[in-house]
Order: sequence, then C-alpha cells, then structure tokens
Amino acid sequence: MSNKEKTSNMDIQKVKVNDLKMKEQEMKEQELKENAFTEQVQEVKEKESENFDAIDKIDAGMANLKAMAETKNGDEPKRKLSRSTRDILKCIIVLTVIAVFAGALLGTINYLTYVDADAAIISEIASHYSVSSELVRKDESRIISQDGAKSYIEDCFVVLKAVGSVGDGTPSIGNPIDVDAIIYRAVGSGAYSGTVELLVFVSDDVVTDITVYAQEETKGIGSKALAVSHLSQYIGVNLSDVESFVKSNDGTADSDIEFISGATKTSTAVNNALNAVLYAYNNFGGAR
Amino acid sequence: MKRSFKQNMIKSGAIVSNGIITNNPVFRLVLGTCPVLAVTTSAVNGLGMGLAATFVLLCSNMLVSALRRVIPDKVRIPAYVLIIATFVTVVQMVLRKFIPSLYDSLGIYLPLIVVNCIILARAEAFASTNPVLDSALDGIGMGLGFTAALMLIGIIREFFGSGSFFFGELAGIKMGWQFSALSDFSMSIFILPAGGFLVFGLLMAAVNALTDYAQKKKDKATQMRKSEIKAKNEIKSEEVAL
Repeated sequence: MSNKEKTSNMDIQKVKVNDLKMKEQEMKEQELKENAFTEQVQEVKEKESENFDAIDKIDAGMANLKAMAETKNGDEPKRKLSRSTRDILKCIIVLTVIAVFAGALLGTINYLTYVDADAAIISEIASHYSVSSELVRKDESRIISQDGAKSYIEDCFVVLKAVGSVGDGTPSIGNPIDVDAIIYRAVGSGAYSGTVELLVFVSDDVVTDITVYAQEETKGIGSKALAVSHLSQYIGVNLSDVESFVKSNDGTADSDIEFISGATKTSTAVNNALNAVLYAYNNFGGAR
Repeated sequence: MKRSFKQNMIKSGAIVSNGIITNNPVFRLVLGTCPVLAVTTSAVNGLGMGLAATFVLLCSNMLVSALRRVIPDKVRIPAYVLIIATFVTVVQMVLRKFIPSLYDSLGIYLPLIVVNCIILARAEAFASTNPVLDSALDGIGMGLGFTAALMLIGIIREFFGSGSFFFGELAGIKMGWQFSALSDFSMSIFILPAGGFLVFGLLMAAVNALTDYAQKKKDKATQMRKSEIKAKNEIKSEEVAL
C-alpha cells in the first residue's frame, strides 16, 4: 500500500468516525495503526541505508583490489629476473613438504605395524607345542649347512623342557637332555619361483611335523607338493636312520619320496629343504 | 549455481557407475593389464588386490584433488607418484602385519600399485581438475570396477584351473569351497599366464559386446523419440497450414 492510498483511506475512515458515536476509540485505533505504519517505513529506510552501506563497502573493496593489482603490476619489472627461480623454489618447497608429510606418516605406521620375524616364529612354535614362549629359544649352534649348498638352514629354534622336570632345575640350550624339540627353518632351492621355506619340527630324532613358512609356488600346480598329503611322507621318519631323501616312485624305504607329477620342481625344493635339515641334524656335534 | 540435492545424487551416481561399467578400467580402458593377469590366479587374490588398489585410488584421488591448486604443473607427476607411493606403502605395511597370507600371495604386484596406470591415469585425468568429493567418488567407482573385473577373472581361472570357488583366506576368515572331484581334473592352463590371457580376452570381448548392444539400444530409443517428436511437429504444422 502506498502512502497516498493509506492517507485517503484514513480520510474516509475519519468521515465515518465522525458519523459514528464511538469517535474517540476509533481515533485511538487509528493512531496505533499510524504508529505501526511509520515504524514500518522507518524499518524499510534503515534496511535501505544498510544496503547502501554494503554497496559502499563492496565499492571500497573493489577499489582496494584495483589498487593492489596496480601495485603488483608496478612491481613486476623489478621481480622479472627472479620469476623462474621463484617457480623452481615453489616446486621444491611443495615436493619437500609432501615428502616430509609422507615420511612422517610412513614412520608412524611402520612403528605401529612392526613385525618381529623371530618373535612371530617363536610364538608359532610355542602354540604348536602349547608351551609358554619363554621355553622356545633360538639356537644358532645348530645352524649347520654344507659349504656352498643352495639349500640351507636359515634359522633354528629349540623347545626346552619345563622348569623343574630336569635334574638341576633350570633347563639350558647347552644341555641336550633338556631339549624337548628342535625346529628348523629350512630353505629349499630349485623351486618353480624362488625358494620354498619350511618349518621342520623334530623331536627324539623323528620328524613330527612340517609346515610351510614361505613360498611363491603356483596355486593349483606347485602348491600340490606343499599340501599335507605330500609333506606327510617325511613325517615319522627317524633322521638318524636316513642317509638322504631321494626321489623314488616305488620305493618302500623311509628315504624314498614319491614326487608329484607336474610339481616336480616344488617337490625337489621340498626334498632339498628336508635334506638340509638332515645334514644339520646329523652333523651337530655331541649328543643330540 | 548450486546444484540441487537430487541433481547431486544423479551426478555422483553417474561418476561411480562410470568407473564400474561404462569406463571399466580393465575391460573398457584396458589399464593395468600386468597385475590383472598376474594376480588373478584365484578370486581371493583378485579381491585383495582390488581392495588394496581401491583404497590407494580413493586416498590418492582425494589428496591430489585437494592439492590441485597447490602442486605446480611442472612437478605434478613426481608429486602424484610421491602421494601414491605413500599410500601403497601404508597398504603394504598394514597387509604384512594383519593379512600376511595375502601379502605373500600378492608378492611383487602390491608395491607395483605405485606405477599402476589406473591410479596415475585417474590422478592425471580426473582428480587434478575436479573437486574433492567428485574425485573420491571417481576413485571408489574406478576401484570397484577394477575389483569386480579382477574377481570375475579370478573366479573363472580358479574354477577351471584348480577346481575351487573363492577358496582361500582373507583377513583370517576362511571362505570358499574346494571341489575335490574337480581339482583332480583341473586344467592347469587357466592358472598359467596363457590361460590368463585367454580368459581376459574372452571376457573383454563379452563385456564389449554387451555394452555395445546396450549403447545401440539406447541410441535407437533416442532416435525413435526424436522421429516421434518430428512426426508430431509435422502434424502440428499441417494442422496450422489447414
């Protein structure tokens, strides 16, 4: 509603009010309405002035920007010489910052996911014999390999008898009677890809179990020679009775091993690893 | 102009499905063929490799996109490789710690994700010019497409080559079935590289034929609609003329 319409309305209403008897009341109402109207008008005016202020601010900002751009343009001739150096510097800084962040991140994650290979094997052995991992020790004196052999013993662990079960109380690696079992980590060469690493569990001269520690053989082909059905040929063999394990298709002796056709290379690697164990076991000086 | 919620949803859906179907990195873009053929001897390997690559794709796409105004053009490739290598090494360390069996079976192809063409290509072609959210969606779509393709090839090669279905162990969970009757008559060629090429080629042909068929159908439908509209317009103009 525009101002004029409102005033004309007011005029008409005033006439009506004159005609009516309740003059004063109407007048009061009218006054209230008028006040409300003037307030509204004021509000609108205030908003308008605010808008104008905002526009002024934007204008000022634009002017500032223009001024900044001008000063930049003015500065350019001075810095022109160092522009390429600045680009290179920027490249170096960006790459350095990324590299530093990457290094920090990798360091943290490496710390959090650190795997101690020895500790992992020891806990595996401990759970295999269900003894406490304190009884499993690394025994480097038993790591014996033929000179220049491609298949060799990488690591050797012994499981000691429990405290109190032996004569003088505390068992030690040095005393053969205290040793319950010997576990060899044997590396067999001649595999299809790389080597085959086995954990061979020996106790009382007899191979009690063989597990695959690491291998990269083809799944479905070479892996057949790493299955329990193939490895079980070695289990139960008394190591002190055997000269060496040999490939044989119809042998009945403990040392005769039937290779798996199609997985000859993996079978060879497994056999080499077991022969390395045999060598290490039978060439360990002194009593076993 | 700000897009509406519905438009946003449609666009993000299109980005994700683009990676999985229309521009599948393995079958349509033919990227990263080397790890595809080497790793897919079993479906579990494919799944593990795919998920690792998806994680790297997602992270590197987001970071490259976030830094797209900061990284100078001259050194963008070294910067991308640095970012990707960081995430790959993270994946490698985490896998070695928590899923050693998968870590062993992926072998050399895990660190080779660094130079996987899919990840570099998406960083260069998409993430370096698009906002963070879109790049993340693109990473997810492309990664899932890669995973799906690897799994598909893996399932077929594993079934014919070693007579098992999804057999293996992932994150300590044993899954899948070994069919003892089938494994005695398995065709080893499917496990070997030659069988990998065979399955890969046949699958690519099938996928391409399917997508081409779908595209033709779509084109035909749009053409029909166009001709209908034309016919209607002609009728209208005739009416006007009358």
